[in-house]
Amino acid sequence: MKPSRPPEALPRRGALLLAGGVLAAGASWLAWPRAAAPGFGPLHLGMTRAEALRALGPAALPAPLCGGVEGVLFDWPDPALHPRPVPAMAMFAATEARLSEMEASLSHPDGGLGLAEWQAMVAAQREEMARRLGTTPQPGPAEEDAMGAARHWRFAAAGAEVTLASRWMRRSGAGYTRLHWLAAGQEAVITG
Amino acid sequence: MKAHRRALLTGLLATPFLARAQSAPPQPLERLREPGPVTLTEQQLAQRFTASPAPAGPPGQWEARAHLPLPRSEMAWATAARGRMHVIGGYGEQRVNRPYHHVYDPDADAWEIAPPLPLGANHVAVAATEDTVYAFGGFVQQNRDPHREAFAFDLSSKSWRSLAPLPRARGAAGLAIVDGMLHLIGGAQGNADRHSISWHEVYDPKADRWEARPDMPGFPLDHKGVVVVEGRIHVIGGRINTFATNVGHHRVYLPASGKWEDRTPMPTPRSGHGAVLLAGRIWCMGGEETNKVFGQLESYDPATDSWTSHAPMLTPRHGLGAAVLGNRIHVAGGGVVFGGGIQSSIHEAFTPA
Repeated sequence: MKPSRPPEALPRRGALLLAGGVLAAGASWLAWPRAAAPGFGPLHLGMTRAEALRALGPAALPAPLCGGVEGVLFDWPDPALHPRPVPAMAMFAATEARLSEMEASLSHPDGGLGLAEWQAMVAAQREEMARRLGTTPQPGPAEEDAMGAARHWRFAAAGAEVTLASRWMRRSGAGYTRLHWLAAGQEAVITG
Repeated sequence: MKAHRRALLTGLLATPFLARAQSAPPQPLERLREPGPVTLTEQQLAQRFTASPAPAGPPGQWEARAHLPLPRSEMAWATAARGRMHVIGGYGEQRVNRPYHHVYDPDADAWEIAPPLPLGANHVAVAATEDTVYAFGGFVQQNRDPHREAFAFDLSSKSWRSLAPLPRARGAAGLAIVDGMLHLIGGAQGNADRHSISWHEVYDPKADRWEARPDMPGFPLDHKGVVVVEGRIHVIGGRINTFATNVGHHRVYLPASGKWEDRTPMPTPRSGHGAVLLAGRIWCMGGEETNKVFGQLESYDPATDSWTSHAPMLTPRHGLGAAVLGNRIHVAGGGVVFGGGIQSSIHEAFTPA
C-alpha cells in the first residue's frame, strides 16, 4: 500500500492567494464609504436605474419626462418616520441613469394636529433622520419656500444634502413635511 | 464580526465597480420647466379616441392659443372670473402637488403667473364669483391623500386667504355656486384605501361655515363634470374609484327642493373631462379611461334632454382646465396619455358653429 503524502502546512499557492486577498481586502476597506449613501426605503443616491427598479419591484413604473429626466413614484413603509406607507419619488438623470434626487412626503393632510403635536412630530422625524445620517441638522433659511414651509433643517450627509421642510396649517391643523435628498454636484429638479 | 466580514467581502467584489462609478462625471439636468419636446410612442398615440356615438351636430372650430407657462395636468379643473381663466394646482415639474395659479387673458392671448395657491395639490375643486376664486381640497399625493384646506383668492387685492376647512378631506370633487352658496359634491377620500364618495356639503361664504346635505344618490363618483344651468347643478360622467370604471351618468340637483333627477347620460362615458356652459348648452370634452385618452366634444341641450357631437379636440387630453371666455371654450394643459405620466402646456379654444 502506497503511503499518502503528508499534507503541507501552508501550500505555496495558497499562501500567495491569501496574501493577494489581504491586499485586495485592504484596498477595498480604504475605498469603502464611511457611511451608507443617503436614501429612502430600498433606494439610495447613486444607484443605477436598473438597480432601483429591481429593488422597487414590477409595480414601480418610471415616467419619461421632458428635459431628459425620468422619475418613479413609489410607496414604502417606514414606521419610524410615518405611520402610513410613505409616498416617495426618485429621479434619474437620463444620461447616466443614476439616482440623483429623491423626495418623500411625511405629511398629515387630514388635519386635527395642535401646534405642539405638530412640533413634536417634526422633532421626532428630525431626530430619526439625524440618527440615520449620523449628522446634526442645521436650521435652514427662515423664508417660506414654494410649499409654504417656514421650518427647514439641512443635514450635510456623505455625498448629498438632505433637507427636511415642514409647515403647519392653523385652521385645519394639518401638517405638511417633506424630505429631500440631492446628490452632491447635481442640479435640483425638485424645487420648493 | 459578521457585518465586518460581509462589508469586506462586498467591498472586495465591488472595488472595480466603485472605481468606475466614482470616475463618471455628474451630468447636468435640464430644467423640467422646458416644454419638451415630448415624443409619444406609437403605442401612446394609439390611446387617442375621438369618435362619438352621439348624433353629429354643427362641428364648430378649434384653434391653438398661447401655451400655458409650463406643462401641467390633473388640474381638474379651471374657472373663469372677470373674463379671464384661472388654472390652479395639479401636476408639473415631476411633482404632483404644485401650487400653480396661471391666469389667461384672451384679449392679449397671454398667461400671467398669479400668486400661487397657499398649498400645492392636484384635483383641486374650483369655482368663481365676480369677486373671488375659490379652491377647495385636493390631493397632496398622486391622486390620493386629500387635504381639508379651503382657500379664496380675492380678485381685487390679488391675495389668497384661508376659509373654514372642509368638514372632511377630499379631492377630485365638483364645485358649483348657486345663489351664493358653494356646493361641493362627490370626489374621493383616503390614501391606500382611496375611494370615491357621494358627500354633498355646502359652504356659506358670508358665514364662513359648512353645512351637510344628503349624499348624492347612486354611485359615489370622482373626476366628474359639474355645471350649473338655471340654478340646477348637473353632475356628468366621472369614475367609480378608478378610470377602469367610468360612467356616463347624468344627474341634476335641484337646490330649492333638495331633490336629484336623472337626465340622458353623456354618450361617451369618461372621467377627468372638462364640462362648461356656453350658449345654453353643456359642453363636455376630453377625459380618460384605461389605455384611452378622449378628444370627443359632446354638447347637451337641457331643453330637449339630448346630446350632440362636435369637432373633437385637436389634441385629446384629460385632467385639463376648461372655461368659457366670451363665446369660446378654452381648454388648457392636461395629460396626453392616460394616467399622470406626461403633462402638456397645450391650449386650444373652441368656437361653436
